[in-house]
Amino acid sequence: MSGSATEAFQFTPEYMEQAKAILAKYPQGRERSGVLPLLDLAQRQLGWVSTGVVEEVARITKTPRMKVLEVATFYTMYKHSPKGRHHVEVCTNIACWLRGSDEVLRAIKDELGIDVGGQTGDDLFSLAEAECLGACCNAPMLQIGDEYFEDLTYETTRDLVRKLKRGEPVKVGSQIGRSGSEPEGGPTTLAEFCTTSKVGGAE
Amino acid sequence: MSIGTRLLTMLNGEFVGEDAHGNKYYQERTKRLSNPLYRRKRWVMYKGKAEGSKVPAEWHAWLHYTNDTPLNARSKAWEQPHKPNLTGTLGAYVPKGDDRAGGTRAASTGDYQAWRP
Amino acid sequence: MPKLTIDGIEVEVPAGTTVLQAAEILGIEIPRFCYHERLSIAGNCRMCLVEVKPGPPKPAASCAMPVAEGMDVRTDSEMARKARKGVMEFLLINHPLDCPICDQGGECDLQDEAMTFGNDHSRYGEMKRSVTEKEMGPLVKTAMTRCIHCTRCVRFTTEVAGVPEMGMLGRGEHAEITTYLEQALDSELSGNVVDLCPVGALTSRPYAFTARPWELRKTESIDVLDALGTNVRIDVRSGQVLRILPRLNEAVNEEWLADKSRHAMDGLRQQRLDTPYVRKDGQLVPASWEEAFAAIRAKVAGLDGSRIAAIAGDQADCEAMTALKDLMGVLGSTNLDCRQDGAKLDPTVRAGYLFNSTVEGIESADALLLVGSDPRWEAPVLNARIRKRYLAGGFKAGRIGPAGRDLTYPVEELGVDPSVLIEIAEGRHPFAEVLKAAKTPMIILGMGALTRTDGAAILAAARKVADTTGMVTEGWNGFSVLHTAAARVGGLDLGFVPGSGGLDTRGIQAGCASGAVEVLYLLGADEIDTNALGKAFVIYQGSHGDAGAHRADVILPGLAYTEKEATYVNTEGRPQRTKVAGFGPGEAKEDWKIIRALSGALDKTLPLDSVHQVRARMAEINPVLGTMNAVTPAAWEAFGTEGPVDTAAFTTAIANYYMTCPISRASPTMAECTRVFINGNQERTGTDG
Repeated sequence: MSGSATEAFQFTPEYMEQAKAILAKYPQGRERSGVLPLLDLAQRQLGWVSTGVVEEVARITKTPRMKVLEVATFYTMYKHSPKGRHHVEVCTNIACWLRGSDEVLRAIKDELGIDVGGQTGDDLFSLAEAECLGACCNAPMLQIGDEYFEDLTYETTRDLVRKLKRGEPVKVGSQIGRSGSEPEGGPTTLAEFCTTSKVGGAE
Repeated sequence: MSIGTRLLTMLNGEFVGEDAHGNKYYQERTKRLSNPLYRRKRWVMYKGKAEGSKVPAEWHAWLHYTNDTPLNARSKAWEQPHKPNLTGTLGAYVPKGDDRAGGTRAASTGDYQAWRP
Repeated sequence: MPKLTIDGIEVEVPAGTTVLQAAEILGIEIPRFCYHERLSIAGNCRMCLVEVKPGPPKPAASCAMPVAEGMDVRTDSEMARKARKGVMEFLLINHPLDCPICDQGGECDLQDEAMTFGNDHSRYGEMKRSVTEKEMGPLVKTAMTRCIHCTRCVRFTTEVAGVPEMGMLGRGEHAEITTYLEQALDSELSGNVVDLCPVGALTSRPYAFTARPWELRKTESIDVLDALGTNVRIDVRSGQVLRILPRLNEAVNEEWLADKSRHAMDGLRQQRLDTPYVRKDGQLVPASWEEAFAAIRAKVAGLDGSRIAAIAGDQADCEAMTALKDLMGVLGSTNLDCRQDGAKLDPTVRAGYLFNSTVEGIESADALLLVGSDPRWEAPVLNARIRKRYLAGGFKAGRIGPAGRDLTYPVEELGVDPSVLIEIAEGRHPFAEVLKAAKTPMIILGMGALTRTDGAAILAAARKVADTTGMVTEGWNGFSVLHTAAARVGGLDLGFVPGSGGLDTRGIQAGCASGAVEVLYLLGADEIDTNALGKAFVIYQGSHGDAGAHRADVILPGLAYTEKEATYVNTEGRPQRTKVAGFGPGEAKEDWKIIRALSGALDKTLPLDSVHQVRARMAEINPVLGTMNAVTPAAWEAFGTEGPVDTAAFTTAIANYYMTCPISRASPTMAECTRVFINGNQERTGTDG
């Protein structure tokens, strides 16, 4: 979670192992295919994509560094400045917004005292708005790291953030206990079929 | 100044005034009150050679019926004394880069810097 | 061959042609911003939309759509026009309307197309986006707010220039074109992105706010700052060369121009010789032509021919060399040389000093051996041609010479000294097999290999490589000499070389130092060691006050290449003619006329009274110079002197790309380039050519 933009970057042996495994998937001379996963790997190690990361990935994948930088700036998944340990991305796109993403944002602001684009003083949290993350059935939702937290309300959001603050385990996925994107409160159509064939339903 | 103008001035000219250059301005003595639209003829007797540009602005206005009386010369601080057209005389304008005006000018396209040992 | 109809006209084109190219064949112009013939297809500006039937009921981007049998294309239908209007409106959302203060104004693609497809007013009330300017070095000025993201510059630097340092960061509304970390664009072809940019986002920095295109008088001419003979257009206002642009010539430069050739022209205004000088009491004082000629006459009269010598410089034109050769002839001197760097080129066999494969021929070569040559600096546009060949695939290149220099295509490092060349010639080196296996192998022999004392032996070894690996076959000659001087091939064609018993450049210099040569005539020769000329009486004729002028006893002011109509033969042996774009400074005169006048003053009047007589004499000396713009293939004969070679490593012929001749040394822009690219970069050292 640290380091200046120009600092040289190197994969730790464990991460290098993974990087090699990724590159092994592609034929010789096509190392360039590994740019995206390697950037992601580096971001997992460093916390963000620095110029050092770009140059190291360019070196490993034998790709012009400008091309790597183009890729890294194209995707919002890559962060170009150090972020908090929990980088909270709240979807504020139309489906989530209609279902109350404003409340979710308010809950986080109230709990952490930071605004969108801000970061807490202890570097534990940073807050960002995200465009549609594809979980519209379970709106409103937010993303922290690799995990989705869905079907949020003001209270559940505050509770979630509070738990993260304290380092307690949190419930991933829908906060109201539904599985995937099945309808709230169980199936509404083909109910008979679902109960007999056990398609869908609870895990 | 033709003979006719001299004659007219002598017979029917009423002296109105003289400008800084010595040009004399006249108008007709006759007033035709019967015709309210009639304007008395106005003319100038040049000092020296007849040359239109010798007439200063204040008299120009009177001469062309813009004003009833000549304007006040130098009524504004920014007014310059009148100069007739100096083309063809030594006082004619020459651009700064001309030899007659010192020959120094700003750099322009086509200039080059010559090598000097 | 699919047959299709475009605007009701039927046309049959090869499969794989795009609709836009097919329309071009018919002479129908489809507006475009991102499409460029010599770059890959991006298809991101959407200006080339046309209506295509059969197909989905929407316009299609003609630049990226391959033709198909039975296609019915409409380029001027209501749908196509409406679609383009829409595209133009979108492009203008964020494009500033600052044409009056934009350097591209008057030659802007967007401006032109907006005349046809633009609306009379904008429907957007929002603010336009603004983008910070990007630093791209001393040659390219940026105003990225104007950028329409056609990515031509990105594709050019990646594909043609081979320097993948430009790219588009971010996406959507936040996309910005920039160089990596905003470093200067380190390419010898960077000026071309200015030509490619369809709007005013990338403009020429030295030319910034200088002139409007309609104020310029355009002259089609030839560049002489390298030996490629790039075809250029010289733009002049009030006699001053304001910019130089490339001109299309598929056989030579396609449509590219190297940075030195493009931007060194501000050196044409600096350090000019504008009056004759005569040295009196150790001081050069301005003189009249008569005084200068009298001073020469006083020295030359009665002097034996063997005590007179002449050296022609790198930018001497054929007319002047013809006149000087004849003058030396009537003075009884055989001491003349046009190889001021001492290159051991054999003037007797034309095939021995030409780029026989021709520049266009590079594209049909399939293996390349570079010997003591750095084409990236010696002829950047030619290097781009080699890169083009490499990108086409199935091409192998090897290099004997200084290793590590990035040529923008991979080269196998074979070694640094001539012994490797001998090994290849004798078939003992693995690369010899590569050359033998190739159908059309070629060798590029640079001046770094020939200016050595063992140059003649290296030349012979290179010929042996050509012979043993089958480089010279029916219709193909892969033996290519890459010259660094525009005047060199012309000089060799004219036989501006030592006659029987005559001295060459090294001999002349030694003769001057020892006193054996009393009068030395330098025709624009500045790259020799002018401090070691002893007590010789030096006549310098040239356009710039450079090394030669400082040493001279008499200076005769000549004209630079933009000011005279003169013949130059490029490295392929292609005679081309420059045109008068502007007049020379002060008393300066056309070079052959000076020599003709001098011959009169010396009572040895040459029968060269008009340029036609000079040109007739040129063609008489070598008939090849009678046909302009054509390459005359040279017969393959024995040349070079076999002998032992030195094992010293090859060096490069050029120490600083940006300063190689009196014009580029006098140029402030080239000085700035040297500061940024040469002195700022540890890999390349040296400050002077």
